[in-house]
Amino acid sequence: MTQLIQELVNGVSLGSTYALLALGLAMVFSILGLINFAHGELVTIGGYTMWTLFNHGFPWPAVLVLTLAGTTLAAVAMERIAFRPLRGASIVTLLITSFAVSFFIQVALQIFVSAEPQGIGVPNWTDTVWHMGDVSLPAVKVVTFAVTIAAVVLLAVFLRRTLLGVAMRAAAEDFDAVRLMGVRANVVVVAAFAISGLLAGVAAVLFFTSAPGVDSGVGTPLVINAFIGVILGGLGNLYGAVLGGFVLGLATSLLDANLHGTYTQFSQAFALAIVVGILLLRPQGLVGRSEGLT
Amino acid sequence: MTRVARYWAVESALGTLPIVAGLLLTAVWAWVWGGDQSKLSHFFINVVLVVSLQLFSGNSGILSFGHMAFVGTGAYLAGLLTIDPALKSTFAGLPHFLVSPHWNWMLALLAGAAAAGVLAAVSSLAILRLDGASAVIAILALLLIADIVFTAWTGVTRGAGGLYPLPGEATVTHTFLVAVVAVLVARLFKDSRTGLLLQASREDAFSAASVGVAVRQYRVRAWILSGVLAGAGGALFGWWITTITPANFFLEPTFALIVMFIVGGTRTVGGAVIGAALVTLVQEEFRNYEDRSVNLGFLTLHRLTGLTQFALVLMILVVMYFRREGILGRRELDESLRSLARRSRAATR
Amino acid sequence: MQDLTARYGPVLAVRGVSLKVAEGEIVALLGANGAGKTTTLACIAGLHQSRTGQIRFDGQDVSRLSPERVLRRGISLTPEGRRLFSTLTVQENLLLGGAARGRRSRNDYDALLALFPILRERLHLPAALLSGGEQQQLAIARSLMSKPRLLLLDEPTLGLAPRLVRLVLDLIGRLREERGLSVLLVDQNVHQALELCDRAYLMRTGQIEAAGSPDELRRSREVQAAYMGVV
Repeated sequence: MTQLIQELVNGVSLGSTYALLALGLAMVFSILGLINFAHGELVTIGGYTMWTLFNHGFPWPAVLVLTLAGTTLAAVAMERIAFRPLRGASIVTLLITSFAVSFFIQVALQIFVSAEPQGIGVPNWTDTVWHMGDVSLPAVKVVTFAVTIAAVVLLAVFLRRTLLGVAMRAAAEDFDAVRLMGVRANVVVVAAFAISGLLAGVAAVLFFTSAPGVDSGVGTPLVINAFIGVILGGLGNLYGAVLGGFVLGLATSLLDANLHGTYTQFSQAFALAIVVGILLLRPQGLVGRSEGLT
Repeated sequence: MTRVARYWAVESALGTLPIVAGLLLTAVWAWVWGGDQSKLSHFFINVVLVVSLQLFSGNSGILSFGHMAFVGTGAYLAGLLTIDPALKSTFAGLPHFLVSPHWNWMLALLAGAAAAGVLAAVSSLAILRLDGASAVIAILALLLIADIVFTAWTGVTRGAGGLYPLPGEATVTHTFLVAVVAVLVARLFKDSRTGLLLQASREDAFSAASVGVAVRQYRVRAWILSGVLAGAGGALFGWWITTITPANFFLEPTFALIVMFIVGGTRTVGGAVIGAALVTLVQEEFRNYEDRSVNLGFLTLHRLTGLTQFALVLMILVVMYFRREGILGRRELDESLRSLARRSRAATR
Repeated sequence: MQDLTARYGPVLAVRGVSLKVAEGEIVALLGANGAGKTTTLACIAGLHQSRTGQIRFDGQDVSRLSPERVLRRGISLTPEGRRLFSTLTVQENLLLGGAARGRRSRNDYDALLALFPILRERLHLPAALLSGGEQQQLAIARSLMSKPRLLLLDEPTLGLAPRLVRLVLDLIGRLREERGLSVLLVDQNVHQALELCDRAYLMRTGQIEAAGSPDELRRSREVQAAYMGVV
């Protein structure tokens, strides 16, 4: 029983990371039709920011705030520089460009920052483990889950209660019609990227606190899994993306812990096979594709 | 073959003349001037790979991010079939039916291509049921699955450690031959009835379907044929590089393949070849610079890792922002030459 | 509008169209499907950018403006098919309509709900669940939230039962009376449109074929040919 709870905790924590990233991906996709493969690099940038700041002795709260600010800014810059000139281009063009941007950032990080993996100097108290009977719960993992849920709820509130949020939901359904309302297209797009950047920053902070090592390629497997989560949940559907991320994280984690012997290496493959299976049965995804954001 | 069909096939095959001539010239030039054989083989192999991608994606309009799955399949199988059994017997976990064979390159290449074809046929059941954008995503999933299988099935593929040593069967002659065949096949397909109908669906799948074009069927045909070619290219690739790891078939090579495809122009076989030439050039030349350091005065860059990658990124961004239809655009080389000839004839009249 | 020419790729949808709407006028733009009426409206609204020609509003050139800017100048388009945000509620749709004006639209919000009582009843329902007539009312109300001075209506009666057609056209007339709204109306219902408008134009394959008062057009041969099949 304790075993199971441990595995669930791990799975939920992993799922949280995927869910946060999937949410950011889905948000940008619904409004722009762009699957931003460079989204993973936002996490990498977050990691390198943390590394630099800790190396220079910044205190934890400052690192937190600055990292979030950093990833948000990076996302907004990405939109302005790389994607705005391609506004309205086909999905495939956008996808290829996002690949190019992703590689570009990775190479730039390799050349200008470091080609070697770096350890991040997170403070020691992040190693705290809580105990509940026989179960040991690493504090980070629990916090990760809690923060993710909080983030999702906050986003939902934002999308329902603020004018900008309503405009974004409308834009996901019919971008041009929103412009006819006088809502500036750029504002909506920048907001979407900013939110995705902020979510990536949160994911980065949580991720690197529990695994304090960063290298230029750390974003790629993350964005791939986030992408799978988005598909699993139903392309463009925000709640679906979150659900998809959690399901994938849980499946990977549980398989990882329970497959015996030589099969452990296949846990990712099995998880992917499960995803493919679900999609064949239900091509529109778990929650289903939708007209708007939700 | 009916008279019309025969006429089409001949005309189409002749259309590849400029490309074949170009390839031949390159080969001869290198042979006479003693150029680097390896670079030349690399070029011809890239031609096979990108042409296989063009065959499917250029005609159907569905961009395949998954072709490296076929390339890898061809590489691993053909590679295994050509390694000396004495060596193979030391590979723990290798199934017996793969240890004993020691085939010649042609047979092994056909086997690799066939295996890739089977993978294409099986995957087409799932993938080609979906509409355009979803298919792109599903094909990407194929790449992911292939990578996981290549990495995890260590008994056969030797996993991340790599499968080696693969014999050097990727000579200039071999690769040239396969490249020419690939170009011919792609061009014949493009001008064939299936190819033309597929192109119609590329423009507007809905209209095409409404006039009875069995879009899905044609896509499947293109997909499988494309997979077979890619598998053949994979076999050659394995022999050229002599050690293969799953990373050789994952995201970075996929990106390079896509750059080749797009930069030259997705609609034409000639464009694909030009793209292959440019990218091969970049890959071969920039490789030498990657370990060097650069002193820019105000800052010193140690180890220009990823320079090739960077160059490819720039190439594709330039195309995306400035000339999305690629270098060759819509017309094959022979078509452009023919219209030039027609125009000059008209002018002199 | 002077000499407007608009294209979709190589196809010219609108060729050298010139028309005028005076303040407080209701002008009808008639014509068969494919005549270029929707494209003309789209050009005015800033949605369609591949064109040449001049569009002036209130003495100012609005030819090259983006849709957002066009709206802020006081021109609002109720597009063909309404283009409501179906996943959003009636209230959210209305709020978005007033987004450009921010807080100031609050008054209009209340006034419009008084004008369209049915919307008040359905306030928190997703727009997709409204009936055709209700959706049309919502679309018009949404456009009015931005307090436009020129309203572009593209087929506001499309797909509506005759009683509702009556309702919508009456509404348009009232809006002109009460608010001094100018209207450029595209509609398939020739008879009713001619009854309502002050002046009308007839378009065919991208060009203006006839123009004048409703009576003139009713009697003109072009209108009869276009709609009645009489040669």
